[in-house]
Amino acid sequence: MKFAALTIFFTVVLTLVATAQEKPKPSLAWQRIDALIEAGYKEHNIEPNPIASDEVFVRRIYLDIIGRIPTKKETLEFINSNAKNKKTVLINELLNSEGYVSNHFNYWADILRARTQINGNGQGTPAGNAYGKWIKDSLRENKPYDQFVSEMISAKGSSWDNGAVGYYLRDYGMPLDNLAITAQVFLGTEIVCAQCHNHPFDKWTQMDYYKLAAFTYGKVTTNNSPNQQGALAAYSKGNMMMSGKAKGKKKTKGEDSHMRDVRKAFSEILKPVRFNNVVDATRSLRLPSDYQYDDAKPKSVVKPGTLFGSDAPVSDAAPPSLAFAEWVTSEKNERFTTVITNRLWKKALGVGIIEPVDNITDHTTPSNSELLAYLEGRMRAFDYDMKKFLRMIYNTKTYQREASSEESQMGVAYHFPGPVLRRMTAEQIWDSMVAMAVPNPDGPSLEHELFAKKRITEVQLIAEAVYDQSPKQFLRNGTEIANVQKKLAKEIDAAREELTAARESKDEKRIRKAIADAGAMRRQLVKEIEERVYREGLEKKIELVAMKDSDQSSQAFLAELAEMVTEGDREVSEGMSEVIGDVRPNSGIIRQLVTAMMKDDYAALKKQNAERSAREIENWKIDTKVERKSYESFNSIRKKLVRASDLPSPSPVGHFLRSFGQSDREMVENANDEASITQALALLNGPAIGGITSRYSVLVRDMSGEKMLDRLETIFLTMLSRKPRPDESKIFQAAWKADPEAGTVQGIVWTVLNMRQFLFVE
Amino acid sequence: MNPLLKNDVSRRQFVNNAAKTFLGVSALGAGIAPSITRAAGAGASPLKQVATAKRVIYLYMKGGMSHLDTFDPKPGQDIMGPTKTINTNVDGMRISEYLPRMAKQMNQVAVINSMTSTQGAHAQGDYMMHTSYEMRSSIKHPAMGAWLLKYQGKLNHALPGNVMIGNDSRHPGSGFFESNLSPVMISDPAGGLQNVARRKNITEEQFNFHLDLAAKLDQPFVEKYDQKNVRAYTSMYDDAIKLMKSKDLEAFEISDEPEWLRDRYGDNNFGQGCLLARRLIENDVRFVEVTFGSWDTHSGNFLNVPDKAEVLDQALSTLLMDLEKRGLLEDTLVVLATEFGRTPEINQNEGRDHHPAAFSCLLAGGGIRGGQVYGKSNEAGSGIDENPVKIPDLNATVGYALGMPLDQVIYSPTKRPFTLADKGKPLVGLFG
Repeated sequence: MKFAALTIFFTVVLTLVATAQEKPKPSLAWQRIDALIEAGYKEHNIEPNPIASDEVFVRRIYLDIIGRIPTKKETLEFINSNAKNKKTVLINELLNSEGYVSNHFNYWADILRARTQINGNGQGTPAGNAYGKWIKDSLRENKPYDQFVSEMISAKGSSWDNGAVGYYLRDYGMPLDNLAITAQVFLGTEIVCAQCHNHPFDKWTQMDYYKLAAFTYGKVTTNNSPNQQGALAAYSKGNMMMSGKAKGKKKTKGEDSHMRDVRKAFSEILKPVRFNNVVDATRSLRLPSDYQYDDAKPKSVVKPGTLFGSDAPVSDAAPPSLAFAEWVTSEKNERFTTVITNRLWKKALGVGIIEPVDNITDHTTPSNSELLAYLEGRMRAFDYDMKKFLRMIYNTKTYQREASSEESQMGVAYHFPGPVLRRMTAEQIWDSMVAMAVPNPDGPSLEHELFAKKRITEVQLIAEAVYDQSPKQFLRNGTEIANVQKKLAKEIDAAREELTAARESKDEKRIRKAIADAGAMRRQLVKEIEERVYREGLEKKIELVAMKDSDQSSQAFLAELAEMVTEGDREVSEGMSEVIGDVRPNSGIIRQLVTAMMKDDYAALKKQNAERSAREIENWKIDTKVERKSYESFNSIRKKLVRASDLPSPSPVGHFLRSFGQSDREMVENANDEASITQALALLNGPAIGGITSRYSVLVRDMSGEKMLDRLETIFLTMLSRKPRPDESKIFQAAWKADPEAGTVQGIVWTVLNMRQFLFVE
Repeated sequence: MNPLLKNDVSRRQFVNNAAKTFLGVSALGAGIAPSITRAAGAGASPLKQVATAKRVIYLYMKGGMSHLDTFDPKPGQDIMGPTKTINTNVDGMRISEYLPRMAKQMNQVAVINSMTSTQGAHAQGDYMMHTSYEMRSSIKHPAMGAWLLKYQGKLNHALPGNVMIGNDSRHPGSGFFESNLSPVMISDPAGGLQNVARRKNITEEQFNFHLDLAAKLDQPFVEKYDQKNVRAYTSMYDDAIKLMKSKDLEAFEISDEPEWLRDRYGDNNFGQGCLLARRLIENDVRFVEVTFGSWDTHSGNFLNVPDKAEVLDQALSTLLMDLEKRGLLEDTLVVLATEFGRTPEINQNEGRDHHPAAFSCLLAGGGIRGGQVYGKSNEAGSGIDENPVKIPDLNATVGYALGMPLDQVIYSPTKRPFTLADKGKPLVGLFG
């Protein structure tokens, strides 16, 4: 493809040649798109919406690209600018900001069902964090979409080396479902019905499904410990030798149960590294035992085969998933390009050219085929650069028109007189609140990054400690832990007797203590494993870190940091009790080592926070005791008011984000924008307003020294990105006149917060 | 307010349309949403009956409740460990010593000792118990409360119709149905419904004043964008205000209950949750789930089960008595469910592991005949000897009690067909 940049600002390309046949006259890509849309207006007799005002545009573009409303300053900067190309400049600026990463992480986390706790029950948190980080990093470096997808489909290795393995770990133990999701999300093809029988509404057979699934069936999620197998083999061998040596001692039931104990010990030792590894195994997929069609026998082995387009020949040298990834993401695979083109168009305009985006069949008719074909051509020409593509769309007149006042009906083709009216996503509402309260709201939060890094480092250390042990060493450790478990079992016995006795005595205190003692058992076991097994594997590392920190002041500093680390955990993971329930004992070697290794990170965090406080105390003139107290309370609000992308994914039930329809990450694109009573109650009576109207919030500081009418203007500019209209000011003034007490900042903010205009994006 | 709604008739129509649109039910009658398609011959189904229950209290024992140490003990066997068995007020029915209060009330419940499942992992077992379907990452199925609202709508229009006490982010909720059918989650029974009270520093006058102001300022916007979702917000705000002002909101205030009764339910989240459930049911909330965990006793089974059982015993026995005294047990179905049972074999940590092949559930009230045991596990407590009951059968029984059409097919947005209890068959013999 040939294309050329125009000026510094006009980085979007000129269309020289769209296809060999048609020869459109040279124009900007976005103008070409508008022309194709306008042809649709004529054909369908549609009056386009007028071009949106600067006020409407600035609010919408901030929300669409960086996921929050602009601040007063940002709004005014744009509205007051006389530059001709100011929209293009702003689009570029926003696409290159960190807010793009945050907003698009939320978008992709919904599509990919990316969870912080990848496997529930508090397990897989390291992998969940690594996956989230990988998605964010990919967006930050603007990884081409085809590469992004290919890296997920072919992902292998350990979470700490390659976060993309989260793609498979997410569907641990459900490889067939994972494959259905792959087809749905990246190829817009629903084949899931064909898992159990031929598809009733589409052409796919159960055989098609299984052939496709055979590509990724070898992706096995495992604890990846070769020494476990070796150790077990060594055990059986050793056992036989022992029973041979020990005269008269037969292989008794006791020995078998010992073997079982050792196995259990192995699984305890390896527990933390579960849900962290994906390997390519040689594993054949077989048809189900109730396969009912004539083309093959039940339970017969299925060879990989594609659904459409070209074949994907599997070589002996590489795993089939690699051939599959190439096939899926190939430029020749038309649906691959169609899906992402249509998806990103929908992200900007609110409706796809094809609806729904992930259920394309042979009978699907795009609402504007020429437009879709052109956009697909651009997507290929841009080499799947998503930012370039979005930049092109946001520069179209079509995008920059007013939102349609008429509703687009399901099943009726939409011809894009403008974007549709949308409710903000849960994350956009939350992040907008963050922006109204906290300076520099686009993150990422260093606290959150360190929290994730710590989880990943912990599991990496454990893996390092365990994987390198020889089978013999591993067996010895397993036996030792089995003994510990046995000893603990005896203690449970004792604890039970104590509880019975306590119950009889009806001594509440004694009962409670007995219960707590039992609860401490699990932690004790973890600690024993850390001391007896992990420590051995980490000796060199411990020495290295200890040498670095031999002097006393450093030790004291380390202790201080350790406290900070725990403190940070509590804050970051508020509402993530499941995760916290799973963390290592603080006094254990793993925690100590992680703290020492991340010393510099935490020192930097500490410094950053101290510098920020000093700066703010000076700039905001915080002097009196009362002011200091307000500032402290603002700081504690700030810790909770971080961007949605820095909170656990998904947020716990009951969190503001979930009430407003954040996806539970169970289903593809499961976020919803439906109204609920809980939402209305949260905005009417919830704590959200507290942060926005606290003394040092961005909004309140923007109003300092202003008279009531100016304050009204500041609130409107902040929350709705426009000044109040004269009739609106009058309504307020009349109200204040009637009741002078009603004229409060809280009152105005509350009023605007509870208007439909605030929640919807025009 | 929308100018279209100025007279009563059109407002009622609007409410009805809104109800159809948002809830999939008709507010004017017990109609069924047009999106529900009847399977051929469904009208003649023998599986439909007059409802014997109007409401459900669903007690979920999270983690897998040991059947042997609760409702299906095997007296005198090694597998029982230290757990002993006691007589109940029903001839021949014996339960674990950890449930002394329930032993005096077994005439109120039907015990199913032949539950069997193939789902041996928590998430999968929990999901199946709630939905009757296997967990898939490609679809989310609705749980029973959502089905009930879908088919029969609310009874009390001010309060939410589906409530869950205890916080569970993995709850299937409304599945592929409208999100409004999802349970409203209450994590702390004593705390009640979140955000229903005005903020402390706002007076009622200020509240109404600003609400009015917001409506006035919003009018041009609401008129310009006369769209479904914008209207939905207006109507949800109306509902929220109605709820805030509703006298029925007191249903959430368990502190209004006499102290002795609160004590009797048990001074813990589950006990208080059961009390809240009774108050909600009393106010015609359709479906209330109370969760209680964790029963996942891989270690210290005989230390932990007595502890959990005591909480359960206290709460359940009081709940049944309280419901009966108030005449509510007649048309309120109480369900006690869990994802699976636990192994008869006691492991080296003095614990029991997951055991889906045999476990126990309970039904009471709502037309269920008390004092009976249905099905039988084998002597070893490991498998089923008589009348195996699969999870969908249990859910079909619940649906049957509520008079819901078990064979009616509803299509998901991806056009896959589903029924409320998959292929489950109701245990009709339990009734009467």
